[in-house]
Amino acid sequence: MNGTGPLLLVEDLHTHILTTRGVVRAVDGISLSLPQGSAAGLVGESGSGKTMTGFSILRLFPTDAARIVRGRIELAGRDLLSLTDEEMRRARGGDVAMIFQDPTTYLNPVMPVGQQVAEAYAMRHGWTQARQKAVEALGLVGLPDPGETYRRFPHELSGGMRQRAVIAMAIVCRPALLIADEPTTAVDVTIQAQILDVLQRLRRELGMTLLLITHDLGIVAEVCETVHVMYAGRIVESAPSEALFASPGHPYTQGLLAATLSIDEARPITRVMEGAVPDLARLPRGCRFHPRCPAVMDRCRIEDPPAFRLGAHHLVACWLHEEQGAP
Amino acid sequence: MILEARDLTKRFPWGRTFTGTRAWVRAVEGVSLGVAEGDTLALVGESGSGKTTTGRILAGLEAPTSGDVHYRGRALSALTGQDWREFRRSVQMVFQDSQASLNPRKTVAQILEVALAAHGVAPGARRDSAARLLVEVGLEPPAVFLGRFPHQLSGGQRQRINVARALATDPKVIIADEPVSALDLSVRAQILVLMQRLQRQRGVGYLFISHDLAVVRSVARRVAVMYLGRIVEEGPTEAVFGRPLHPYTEALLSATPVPNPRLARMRERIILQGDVPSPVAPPPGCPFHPRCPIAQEVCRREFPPLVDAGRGQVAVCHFAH
Repeated sequence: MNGTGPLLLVEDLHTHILTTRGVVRAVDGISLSLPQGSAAGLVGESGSGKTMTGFSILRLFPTDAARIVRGRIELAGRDLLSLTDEEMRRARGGDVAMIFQDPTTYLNPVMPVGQQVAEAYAMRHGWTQARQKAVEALGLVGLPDPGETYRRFPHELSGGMRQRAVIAMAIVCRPALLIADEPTTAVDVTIQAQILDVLQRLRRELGMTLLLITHDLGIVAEVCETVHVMYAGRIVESAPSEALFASPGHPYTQGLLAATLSIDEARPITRVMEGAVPDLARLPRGCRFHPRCPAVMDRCRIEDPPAFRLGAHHLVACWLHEEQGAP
Repeated sequence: MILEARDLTKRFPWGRTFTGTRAWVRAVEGVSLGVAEGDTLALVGESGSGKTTTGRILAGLEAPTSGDVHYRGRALSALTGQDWREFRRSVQMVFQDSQASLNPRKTVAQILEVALAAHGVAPGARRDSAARLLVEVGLEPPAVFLGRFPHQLSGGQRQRINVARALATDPKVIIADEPVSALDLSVRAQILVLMQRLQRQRGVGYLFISHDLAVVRSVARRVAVMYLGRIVEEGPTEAVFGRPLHPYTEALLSATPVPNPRLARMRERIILQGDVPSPVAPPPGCPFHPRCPIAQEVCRREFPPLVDAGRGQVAVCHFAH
C-alpha cells in the first residue's frame, strides 16, 4: 500500500475497439489521479469514452474486440495492467467495484438478492461470514429490514431498491474504489436523491473513493470535488468542481454548461452547440472539438492541443490557454 | 383554452379472472387542465404518475373512463366524421423514443408524405411541402435527408423528423411526451430551441410532459405537478418553482440537483422515504401521506381540499401554505 500517492492513478490510457469500420479510439490517452476518499466526476455525452474508461480500470470489457493498447493504471500503488487474469479477478470486488445504470441486468432473477450479495462476499472470503456480511451491506445501502430483504427476489423490489441491492453487492467486500456508471439515470428524481445519499454515506462511513460517471452536471455539482470532462476519448478539462462551474476553460465545457438548465433560474437557452460528437473511428485532424468549436483558430485544425495548466489542479486541453499556462 | 381536459379519469383492468376483474389501476383520477394557443403547459411527475396517460387521452389516442376532452369548446365524445378528423390533425404528438416512433422501412420523404396526405395536400405538392418542413426543423439541405431511412439519422435528427411530421398537419397543439429525455445535453438544447422557435412562428400550444424540472422551468409558462394519477399542484412556473405549495412539489424541487457546487452544499435536501405506492391500491386520505414529511392524522383520513393561493396557483393539500 502506497501511503502518500493517489488511490487511483491513470496515465496515458489508450483503449481501442476493433470494428469492421476500423479502430475506434474509445479512450485515447487519458490521465486521472484520485486521492484516497475523494469523489471525482467523469462527465461527457454518449460516445465520449467515459464508460470505456470505467471498464478499462476494471479490465473488463463487454466485447472481446476492446483492449487496452497503452498506458498505466495503478490502484493503491499496484500496477493493475501487470496483474494476471486471476489476480485481476480477485482485485475486482475486493479493491475496485463498478455499478451500472440498469440494476436489473446485473441481478439473477431466480436467486434471492441477499444470497447474491453473500455470494459476492463468499467468492473472496468463503461462506462462513457471508450471510452476516450481506445483511450488513444491505443495511448500509439503506434497505429497510435487511434480514427480510435478504430473502426477496429482484422482481419483488422496486427499481430504487434493486439499485441499492446492486450497490450492496459492489461494496460487500469494502472496495477502496467504487466506479458508478450513471447509477441514477434509470430512476426517478426522488429515488435518485436516496441513491446519491447512499453513495455519500458510503464515502463518509467506509472512506471509499468514488469515480462517478455521468452526463448530468447537476449530480456532479452535488457529489464530486473534482470533475473531468471527456470529449471523443479525451479529457478536455480537469478541475475542482467549483473552478469548473465558475470559470470553465474549454469551449466544450462552456457549451455544456450553457446547455445545462437549472431549476434555480428560468434561463432561456441562448447558446447552442451545433453538430454532434464525432465518429471515434474517423476523428477530425487537430483538436477533435474544432469542427464544433465557436472559438476555432487555424492551428486547431492541424495540431492537437496538450493540456495547459490554468490553476494548481485546473487543466485545459485547448490552444486558447497556451499563453496562460505551460503544458 | 383550445384543448381542455375536464375531470378525466382512466382506469385499466388489473388481475382479470374468469369471473371478472378483480382490481383496477387508477392511472388518472379527476384531472382537469387546459392548453391555450401559443402557450406551454408542463405536466411533470415521476414514472407512474399518470402524465403519459393524460397526454394520450388529450391526443385522442385513449378514451377516458369518465370525464371528457374538449377541443375548441366541443367534447371529443361528440365529434364525428369531418370534425373528428380535424381534431386529429390539430392535435399532434411527439414521443420520447425518436426511433420507435418512425417506421424503419420508410424514408423520411415517405414518412412526411403520409402525414401531408392526411392533411389533404395534393400528391404532386407533397415532395415540396416535405422539403419545406425539413428546412423549418433545421435539416438542410432537405434533398440530403428526404431519401434517408431513420437508422441513417442521429437521435437529434430523428427527433427533428418527428417534429416535422407533427407539423405536417398544421396543428394547433402539440403534446410532447418527454421529447428531449433520450437526447444528449447539446442535442437537447438544439431541440428545445427549435420547439420554442416553432411556437413563436406558428403559435402552436404545447403540452410538455416531462420528469425533468430544470427543462420545464426553461420552457413552460404554467406547470401542473402529478402524483399517483392526480394533479397535486398547478400554477405559473415562476410561482410553483419559487414558492411551491404542495410538500411533494417541494420535495421534487429539493431532490433535483442544481449545477452549482456552492449552492448544492448550502441547500437543504428533503429526501422522501420509500417509493410511490401502487396505483392499484392508492393510500386512503391524501395519496401522498405515506411519504409526506409533514403529514398529520387528518391526512390519513381525509382527502385534502383544493387550496387557492391566488396568483393562479392551486394545490391539493391540508397544509398548503
